[in-house]
Amino acid sequence: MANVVPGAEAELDRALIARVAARDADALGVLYDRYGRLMFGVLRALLPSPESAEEVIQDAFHAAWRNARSYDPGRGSVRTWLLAIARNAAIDWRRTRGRRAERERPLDALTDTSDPSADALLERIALRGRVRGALAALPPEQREVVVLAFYGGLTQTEIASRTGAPLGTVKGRARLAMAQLRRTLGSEAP
Amino acid sequence: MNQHPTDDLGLYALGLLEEDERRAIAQHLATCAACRAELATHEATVAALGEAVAAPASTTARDAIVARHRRRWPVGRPAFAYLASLVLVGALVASLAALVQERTMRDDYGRALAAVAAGGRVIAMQSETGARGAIVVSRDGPSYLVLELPAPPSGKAYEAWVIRDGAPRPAGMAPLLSGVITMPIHELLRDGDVAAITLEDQAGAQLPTTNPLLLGRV
Repeated sequence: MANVVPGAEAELDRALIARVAARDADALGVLYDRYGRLMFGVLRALLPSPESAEEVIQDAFHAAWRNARSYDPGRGSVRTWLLAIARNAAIDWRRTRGRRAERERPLDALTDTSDPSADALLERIALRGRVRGALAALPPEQREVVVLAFYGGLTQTEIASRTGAPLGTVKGRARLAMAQLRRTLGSEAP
Repeated sequence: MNQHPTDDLGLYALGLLEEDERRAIAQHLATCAACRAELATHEATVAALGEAVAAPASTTARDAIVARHRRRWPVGRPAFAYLASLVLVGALVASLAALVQERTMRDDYGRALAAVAAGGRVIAMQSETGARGAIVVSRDGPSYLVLELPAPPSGKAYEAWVIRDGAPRPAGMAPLLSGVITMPIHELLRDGDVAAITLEDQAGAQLPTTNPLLLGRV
């Protein structure tokens, strides 16, 4: 596909963030048009239900609205910035409202979905296309770290305690995995 | 940080670092172009991981987000024309990815985008129903309608009109697709022309039979 020049996309994103910082709600809406699918998809992986993802995507855009002034293009793309915001909003939700929802759930409805393994996560999120193949090609212990981090929203410490591997090993596996995924995925625009 | 955190940029992009590590790298990135370039390659990887699960986000949530902030922070009037065009150009670019299904439409869309880039005008169409649309008026050559409409009822289709001196002329039927669609208008639009969209029988009509869903004046 003849893609829009990447530089132009980045410029547009920065212009939109500047408009959001200047309190333009429509610019926020355009960011939603551009990145809502991506953020919603990741939130669906990180959260137990579509309803919670729907709730948290609103939290995330509200946070983007509040923090637009502090966005610094030198520290990463708008896409990465918004993904980080979505991820933090999901983690906040799990610590607060998620806990409450969990407590209020009848006992017999409790399953292990709140604490899934990397394989269970992978099965649930139904990855598309070449990413599925690229992850499948990783050694299992590297795949586990990437999946638990990105689709599970776990920190390195949580992954270490979950997998029983020392922190340094978790980081080492993640570095190897990212280097390999960059070779298989990173060359092409998503 | 004096040394380049090259080894940790992948972990940074993945969101795997603890807050203090993350902050140290962010500070380094602010002053190091080489590390920013390196980070961009990892960001592409992470973007691919995200795109593999991307899923349609609801328009209800979008409306709630925009309405919440529009209510509290009304945008001043003088900026409106500029904003409308910026936002629409943004929407045009944003929609490109959604248009992978129809090759001809993707081409039309690309041409509409090129017309904007070449200094064409973008005019917001008015709607009372929540449909969205813009007219892209090229400097010379065809113009385009970029429309976001609900799927038409069975047996019906959207028809475009160019209204000049009060007389509507058919300007083509929109393809039967939902989401964002792009229609070329082969007539050269002049100042004062109005473009409109109505819902008609699928075969098309010679004159509009329903009230316009979208209207825009060039």
